[in-house]
Amino acid sequence: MLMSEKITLIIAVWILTALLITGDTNLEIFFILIFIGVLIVRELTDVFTTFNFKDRMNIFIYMFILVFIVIVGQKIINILSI
Amino acid sequence: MIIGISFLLVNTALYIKLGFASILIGLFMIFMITERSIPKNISDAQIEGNLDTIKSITKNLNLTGNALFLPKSDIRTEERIFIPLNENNKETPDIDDDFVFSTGTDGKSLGIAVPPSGLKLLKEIEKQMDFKNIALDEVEESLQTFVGMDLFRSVALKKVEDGWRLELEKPVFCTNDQALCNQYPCPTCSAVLTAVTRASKQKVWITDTMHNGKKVVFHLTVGE
Repeated sequence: MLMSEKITLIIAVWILTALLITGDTNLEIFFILIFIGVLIVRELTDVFTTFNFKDRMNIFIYMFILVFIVIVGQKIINILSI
Repeated sequence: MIIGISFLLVNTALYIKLGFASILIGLFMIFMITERSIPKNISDAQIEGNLDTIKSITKNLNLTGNALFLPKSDIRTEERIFIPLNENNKETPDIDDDFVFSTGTDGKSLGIAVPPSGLKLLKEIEKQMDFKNIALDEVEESLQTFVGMDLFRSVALKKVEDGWRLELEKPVFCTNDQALCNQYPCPTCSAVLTAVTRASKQKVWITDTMHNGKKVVFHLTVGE
C-alpha cells in the first residue's frame, strides 16, 4: 500500500470516528474534530511525504481553516448579540 | 460523493453529517491518491539490464574491490563510484566526469569509475529533499523521504565503532547478490549511499554488505 493511500485511509477512518463521537450533536464540533485530525496527520507524516502530496494536503487544510473562521465568526456574533 | 450528496437532501443533523463525511472521504480519495504506478516486474526488468552490464564489466576485468563513493569536487560535477582491482587498492586516481577506466599507468589504483546507479533517482528525490546542506549526523531524518516514496520500509544510519552502519529494510528492488551490492549497489540502495556521500562530502567506502532477511546492511567507512 502506498504512503498516500495509507494516509488517506487514516483520515477516512478518523472522519468516521469523528462522526461516531459527535453523534447527533452539532456540525461544528464534527468539522473541528476532522480539522484537528488532518492537522495532526499532516504534521506526523511530514518527513515521509513528498512536496506534491504536502501541497495537496495543504489545500484541504486551507479549506478547513476557512470553515473554522466561519464557525468562530458565527460564535462571536452569537455571543455579542446576547 | 454521490451517496454524500443524496444524504444531504435528507434534512436531519445525522444525515447532513453522513453526507459531509461521505463527500469529504470522496474528495480525499480523488485528490490525495493520484500517484501513477507501473507493475513492479516491469520496473525491476528495467533496472536489471543496467546492473547486468556493470556486473559483466567487473567480472571480465577481474575487479574484486568494494565500491568507493566519491563526492563532488573541483574536477567532478557529480558523484562517482570507483571500483578498484582489489580491497588493498585504496588510492584513487584523479577522477573527473569523463574518466572511466583507470589502467594504473599513473601509478595509482587500477579500476573503473562509473556514475552510481541511483544518481538519477537521487536527483528526482532532491527535488523534495536537500542532502547537500545537511551534516552526516543529521542525514538519517532526511533519508526518511525514501520511506515516504515507498522505496524502503525503513532506513537507519547509525555510527558504529569502526564507521557507519546503513540499514535498509525491504528495498523496492533487490538482486540479493552480495558481491554486486559490495561493488555496484542497485539504484534504490545506491541513491541512499549517494545521498550519504553528498551529505558527508567525503569518500564513502562500502567495507561490507549483509543480507539479513528483509534487510540489507551496509558497513561504511567515511573519509579515509
